[in-house]
Amino acid sequence: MSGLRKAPHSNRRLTVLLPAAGLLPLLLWQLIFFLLPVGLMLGLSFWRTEKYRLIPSFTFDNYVTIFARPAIWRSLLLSVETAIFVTVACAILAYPLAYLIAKKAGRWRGLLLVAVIAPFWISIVMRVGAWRLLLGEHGLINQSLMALGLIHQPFSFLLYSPVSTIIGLVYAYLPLYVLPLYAAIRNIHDSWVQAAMDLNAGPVRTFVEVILPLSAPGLIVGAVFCFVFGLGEFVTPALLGGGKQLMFSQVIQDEFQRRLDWPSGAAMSVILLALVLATLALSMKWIRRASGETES
Amino acid sequence: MFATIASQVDLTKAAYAGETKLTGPLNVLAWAGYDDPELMRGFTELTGVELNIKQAESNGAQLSLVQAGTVKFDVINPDAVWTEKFAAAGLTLPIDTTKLSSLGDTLPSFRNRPETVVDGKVYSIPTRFGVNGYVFWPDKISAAAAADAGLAWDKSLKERVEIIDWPELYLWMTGKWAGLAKPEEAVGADLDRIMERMAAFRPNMRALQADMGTVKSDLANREAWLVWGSSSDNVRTTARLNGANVDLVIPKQGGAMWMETLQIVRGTEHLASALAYIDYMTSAKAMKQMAWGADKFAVTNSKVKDLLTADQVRTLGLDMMEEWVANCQMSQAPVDETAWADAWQAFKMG
Repeated sequence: MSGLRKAPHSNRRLTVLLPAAGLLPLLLWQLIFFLLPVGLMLGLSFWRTEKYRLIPSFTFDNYVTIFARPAIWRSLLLSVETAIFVTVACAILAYPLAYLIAKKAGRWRGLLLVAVIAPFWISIVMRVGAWRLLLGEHGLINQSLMALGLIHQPFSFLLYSPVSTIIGLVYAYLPLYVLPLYAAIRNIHDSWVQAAMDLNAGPVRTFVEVILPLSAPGLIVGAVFCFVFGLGEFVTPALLGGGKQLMFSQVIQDEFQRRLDWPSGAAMSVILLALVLATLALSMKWIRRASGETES
Repeated sequence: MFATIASQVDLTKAAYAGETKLTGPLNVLAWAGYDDPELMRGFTELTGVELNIKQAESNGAQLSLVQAGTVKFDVINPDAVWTEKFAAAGLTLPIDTTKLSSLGDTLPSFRNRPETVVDGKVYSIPTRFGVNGYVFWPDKISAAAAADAGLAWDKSLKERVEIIDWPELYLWMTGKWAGLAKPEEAVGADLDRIMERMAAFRPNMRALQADMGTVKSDLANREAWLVWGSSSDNVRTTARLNGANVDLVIPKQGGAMWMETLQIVRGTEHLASALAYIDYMTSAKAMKQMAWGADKFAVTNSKVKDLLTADQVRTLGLDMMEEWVANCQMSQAPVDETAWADAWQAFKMG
């Protein structure tokens, strides 16, 4: 009798243990490559430096200093503003492109998708370098505008300015917005759009009341990608911004590499990470709502 | 891991080992250019000792890496003005200069430099150096205008001047030009004065580049009309090699000089090899490779001129170097590094 009683119990244990074993590699990966480095960074953020030496201690001084220095807050604000601007610009540019590929491209769809992804095959440094050649006073854009007689003096603001940083970031992140939007728009059945038309909805109303809500999950995922990556981006502002205004990621790099104040850099990284995690938590809520999931 | 990061140099251990035998491999922490394969091959062929060269990011980074001790470096390559900091921290050894055969060939301006001596003992041996003033396009700026330090602030140069991320140099030069006798000691009101001058310079600043390469290319393609500092002789040389016929002037208010050195790390297990490396690197043959290799920096061995062609000497500006050096002072490391680092970061953040 007792053996019969035990059988379902061990089956239950197996059903719990097997999936857990399957998750083990993922958990280990997360532990080694995410939790451990983040833990180290968090620990380091409470240390201090003295004459380039790291002193193990527990002090909130690094955080207090960050809060006390308006210049650091200005750079964080600049990063947030830039990330928001880039996200909105990418959304506006990516939507028609994703719609075209998903609904109108026909047999060209595959080729267009490859074209969207293709820039990722080239190093970001090379891509940004190419933008420098395009945006400079003697670059293709200025020279073309002058050749067409549209301007008489080259635009100097095209390079080493917030404009060039934003152009570079929009270019870098546009594919990240197009892909989730494409997936979301592709899932909208043509019959649903047709049904709206049959019920006398015009193109604008069909878009606003049918297509846009149904593509909202793609819009949110793309926005999260753009915002999160844009917030922490270092290479593009460093190469195109001309070092005139530092974004938060550049200040962090400055702390680690130039000032050798690792605890201060770690504290700034923790703040940036908290901002990213908060954005992700919020976006998960929006994604659930947009995809019609209800919280049980 | 935290303990490793925080590890310190153990001053109780022997100052060195391997005093007489050439042993290796030799770990060298040096600026870009020292890892030139031809330069490295020359040393290994001569001594049989392999070199591991790690590129240094800054003087502070060298100090930090040697202090951390996670890699046991044998030779390091800080600027001369950092010699005292390394020696005072007990990180470097006095160098027996009698074992350096090429020291007698050193240019007179670089012999017995006070920056290389601590408590009467030589701790560092000069290698590469450079001068800092203004490099400019002569069709945009006259030599007479460039001879005045105020040029970088001239309204006609709005967004036409480029600099690099080198706080010690620019704050020191600005302090000097603002009339401070010892700019390196500037803190409080004096540092505020320097930063006010730097803030007034911002409208003219086209870019503050992280690297010298971008400054040079922007000058060569005429998007920048003036490059301030950034190791001016090197900027001039590389721009000219790219076909840009730019000029260099050291303003009459004075320019600033920098000088790299080789130093031996306390605790090295390869002292004889470290000395042999410094001996090799200060030889005319190795210095010629440094001068006319990939990076084109001026070097301290006077005999290098004899190994170069007249064209190469002119291109490197070695024919003008004595005059430039005479108008420059060695820019000193700040006494209050933190205050300068904070001030510079605030300047960069706009």
